[in-house]
Amino acid sequence: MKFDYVIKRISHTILIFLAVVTINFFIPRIGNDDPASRYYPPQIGTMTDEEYDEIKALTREQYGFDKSPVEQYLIYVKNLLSGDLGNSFQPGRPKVMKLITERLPWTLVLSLSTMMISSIVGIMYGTFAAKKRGRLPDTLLLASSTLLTALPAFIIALILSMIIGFELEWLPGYADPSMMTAFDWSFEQILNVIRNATLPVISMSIGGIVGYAVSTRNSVIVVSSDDYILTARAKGLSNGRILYRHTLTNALLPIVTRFMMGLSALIGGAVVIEKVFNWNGMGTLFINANLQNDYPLMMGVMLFLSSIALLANLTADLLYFVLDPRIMDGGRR
Amino acid sequence: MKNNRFLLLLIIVLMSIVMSSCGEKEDSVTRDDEALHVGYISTGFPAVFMPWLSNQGIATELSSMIFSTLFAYDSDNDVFDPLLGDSWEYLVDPTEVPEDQDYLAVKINLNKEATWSDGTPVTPEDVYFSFDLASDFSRSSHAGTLAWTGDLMHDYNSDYSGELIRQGIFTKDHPGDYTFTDEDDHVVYLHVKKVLGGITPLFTTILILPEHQYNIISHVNKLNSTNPTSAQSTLYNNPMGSGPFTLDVDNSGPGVIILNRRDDYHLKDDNGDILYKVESIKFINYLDEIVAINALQEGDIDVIDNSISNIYIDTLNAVKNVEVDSSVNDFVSTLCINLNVPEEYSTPQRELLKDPILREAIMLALDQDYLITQSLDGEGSSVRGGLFTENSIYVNDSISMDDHDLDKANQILEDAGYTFEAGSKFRSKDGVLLDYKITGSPGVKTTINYIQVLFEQIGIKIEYHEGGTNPTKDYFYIGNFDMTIQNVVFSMVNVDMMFRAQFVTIGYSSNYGRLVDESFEAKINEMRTTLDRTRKIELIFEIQEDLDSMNYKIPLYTANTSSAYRTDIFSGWVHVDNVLIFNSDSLQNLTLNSK
Repeated sequence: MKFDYVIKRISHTILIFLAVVTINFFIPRIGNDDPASRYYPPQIGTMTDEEYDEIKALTREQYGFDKSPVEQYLIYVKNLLSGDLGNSFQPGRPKVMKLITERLPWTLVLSLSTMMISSIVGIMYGTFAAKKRGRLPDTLLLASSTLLTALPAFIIALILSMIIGFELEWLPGYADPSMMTAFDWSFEQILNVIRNATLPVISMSIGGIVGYAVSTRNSVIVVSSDDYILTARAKGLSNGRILYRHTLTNALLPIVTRFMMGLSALIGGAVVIEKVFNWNGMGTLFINANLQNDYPLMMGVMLFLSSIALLANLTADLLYFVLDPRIMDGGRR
Repeated sequence: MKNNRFLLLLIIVLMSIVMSSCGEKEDSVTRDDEALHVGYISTGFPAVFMPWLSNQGIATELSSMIFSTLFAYDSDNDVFDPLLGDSWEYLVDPTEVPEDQDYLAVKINLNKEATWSDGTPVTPEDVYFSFDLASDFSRSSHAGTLAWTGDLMHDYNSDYSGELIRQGIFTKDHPGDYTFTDEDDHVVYLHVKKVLGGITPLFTTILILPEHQYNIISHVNKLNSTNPTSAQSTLYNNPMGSGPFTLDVDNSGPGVIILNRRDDYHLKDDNGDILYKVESIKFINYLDEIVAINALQEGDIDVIDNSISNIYIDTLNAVKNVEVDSSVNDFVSTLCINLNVPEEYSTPQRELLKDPILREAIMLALDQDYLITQSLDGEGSSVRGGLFTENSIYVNDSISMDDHDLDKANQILEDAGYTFEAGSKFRSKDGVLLDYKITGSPGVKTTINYIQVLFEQIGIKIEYHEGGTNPTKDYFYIGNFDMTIQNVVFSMVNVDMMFRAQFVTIGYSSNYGRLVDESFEAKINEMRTTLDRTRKIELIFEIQEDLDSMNYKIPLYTANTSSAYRTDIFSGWVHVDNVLIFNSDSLQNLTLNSK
C-alpha cells in the first residue's frame, strides 16, 4: 500500500513534468513570431525584404526552425533526456545549462537562507504566540501580519537598503558584483557573502516569518483543543511534552507543504529583490532572456523553475505521508 | 506595565536608528586597487566574448577595446584616425573615376608595429581573412556581417554556397592583378562600390580577427554556430585582439569585467609614451540606475558608463567630488507622420495627413525651444529640418533652425478650409475632425503632452497612445498609426544605409509611414551609388532641403546625454561631443590622483 502510494505520486509528477515540458516548448511558438526574425532582427536599410527573407529561410534551415513543430519537439525532448537544454541565443551560444548553473547557487543562497530563517523563526514565534494567546506577543504577531501582508518585500528591501545600507553603512546596501567571481570558499569570502546576503535575506524573510508564525499559531491553537491533547493533559503529561510531542507534530503538517512550495516561490520571486540589491541570480538571468528574446534560455529557466516546483511538491507529498500515514489510505484509519 | 516598557524600548531603538542615519558622512574614499571603476547599468554582463556578434549592452564597447578596427571616424573633421591602419588613399581621385569602372580602389597601409596580444604581428592576411569571413554568410552565418561588407566588391554566390565570384580584397598572399613588392608587406587593397559611405563600415565597424586563431572557422564550424565546438567556445571565452586592452578572464564574471592595459599597444602619445594612461579598468554591473547612482555617491565607482536620467542631475551636482557632464547627442527626435497608410488601416483623419498644408501647419505649431525647456529641462538643442545634427560638417545650414509661427499655422489652415465648427475647440475639414493619436513608449509621454498643448493652439486634438509591448511590429512596420516620435541619426558614416532605410526601402522593416516619392528615391539612390565624391556631398545637402520641405519627419530636438563621474580618485576627464565622459580621450588622459 505504501509502495503504491509512492509510485502513484511519482507517476503523477512525471506526467505533470511531461505536460510542463510540452507546454513550455509550445507556448513560445503559439504567437505569430518567427523565431528566425527574433534571431535576426530586420537589418534596417541594409537589405531588401527579399534578401532578408532569404537569410531568414537559411537561418530556419540551419537551426532547425524549418522542421515541423512536432519534429522540433521530439528533438527537444531527446536532447532534454541527455540533460541538454540547448544553446542560448547569446553571442558565442553558451549552453543554457551552463548559464543556469552559474546563477542558480547565488539565488539558492538567498532562497534557502530565507526559507530556513523564515520557517525556524516563524514556527518558534508562532508556537510562542499560541502559548501566549491574547497577550502582547500574540497581539504583536496579528498586528504585524496585517501590516506586512500589505507591505511587499521590495518596499522592505528599499527601506533596509537606504537606511542600513547607505545611511548607517552597517551592511552593504547592494551586493558587491565581484563577489561571485572572487568566491573561492575561503573563510573571508564566505563572510563576504554573508555580509552581502544579509539585507536581501532579511527583506525576504520578514514576510515569511510572519506568514509561518501566523500559520503555526493558528494550527497550534486548533490542534490544542483536539481530544487527544485533552487526553494527554488528563494523563498528566507535562506542558512541554504535550506541546512538542503531540501538538507541534500534528500542527506542523500544513506547514510542510508551505515550506516545500515556498522554495519555488522564493526562487521565482527573488527577481525584484535581486534587482534592488544588485544580486546576479536566476531572476536577472530570466529578465535578460526576455529582453533579448532568447527563447532557449527562457525555456530553460522556466523548465528549471517548474521542475523545482514539481520536485518540491512531490517531496511535500512524500513527507506528508511519512508524517501522517493516514494519507496513504485516504484517512480511513 | 512590563509590556509598555518593552514597547518604549522598541521605539527608542528604532528612533536611534533613524536619527543616526541623518548624520554627516565621511568624504574620503578608499579602494583596494588602482583600477578605474566604471559602473554600467544592465541586466548582466555577457557570458562569452565574440567579436562582431557581441552587439548588445556593454559587449560592443568591450569588444572595441580588446579588438581593433582599421580606423576610427572623426566626425568633427570628417577624417579617419589611425588604429590598425596607418594611412589610406583612393588610387584614383573619386572625382575622376573612369565611366567604365564600377568600383573605387582603396589602398591601406597597416601599422607595422601592430601586434596581437600574444605578440604575433598583425598582417594584411588578418585583414583579408576578416573581411572575407564577413562577406561569406556560409561561414560567418550572420546577416549583420553581410551588411557591413555590402559595399565591398568581394562577392560570394548569392545562394550562400561559399563560392567566391568576385574578389575585392588584395594582399600579398591574395594578389589578384596587383603587384606586391617586399616594401608592400603591410599593404591591403580594397575595391568598394561607393565613395565615402562605402568604406566607413569596412574601416570603422569590422573588428579585425587574428587569422591564426580564427582559422578553425569553416563551413562546418560556423562563426555563429548554434552549437559551437569546444575549440570555438575556448576562443570566445578567451578573446585575443589587437586593441589597447586585454580581458582578465580569471577575474571577470556576470557582475564584474576587468580589462588590463597592453603596454605593447602600437599607438603611442605625442611624446612616444603609452597612449592609454589607465592601467586597469574594472567594469561593475548594476541592475538598476538608482543603485549605480548610489555607488557613485559612495565612491565605489568613478564613472557611470550610461546616460543618466535628468532627475538625478541636481542631486549629483550637490555631491562633493561628483560632476555631471552634458554632451550633445547625435540622435534627433522627430515627429513622424504616417503618409502611407495601408488600405486596411486607412481612416479619414489619416488621409488628411497627406495634405502638405496640414503638415506645414503642424511643423509651424511645433516649438523646439518650448519642448526643450519643458520636457527636457533645458537639456537639449534645436535641429534644422534636414535632420542632421548641428555638429555634423554635412549639416545644411541654409535651412532655418526653427520655423515656429502659430499665427501663420492658423492662417494657412484657415485658408485651406480647416475650420472650427460651432462650439468645437478643434478644426475639421469636410466633416472630418483633426483628431490624432501619437503612438509611443511611456518614455516620450511627457514630450507628447507638451505637443498636445502646442497643437491645441492651432485646433488639432492630440492624445497619447501607448504602443504596447511590441510597437514596432504592431504599429510601425505595418503602418497602423497616425503619428509617432521617432529618433533618427544621420551622419556621413551611416547616410548610405539610413537614408535608404528611412525614405526609400519599400519593405517590412522600414514602414514608419514612409514617403512614396519616386524623384526623391532616385535622388537618394544616386547619392548612395555615385562614385563622385563632390556630387555625393551636393546630393546630401539637397536631400536635407527636400526633407525640410516635406514635413514628413519633423524635428523636435536633440536631447543631451548626461554622464556622471568622480574627480577625487582620477582626474583628467575629457568632454567629447556625442559621447559619454567615459570615452577614449578620457582614458588617454586620466591619472590617478595619488600618483
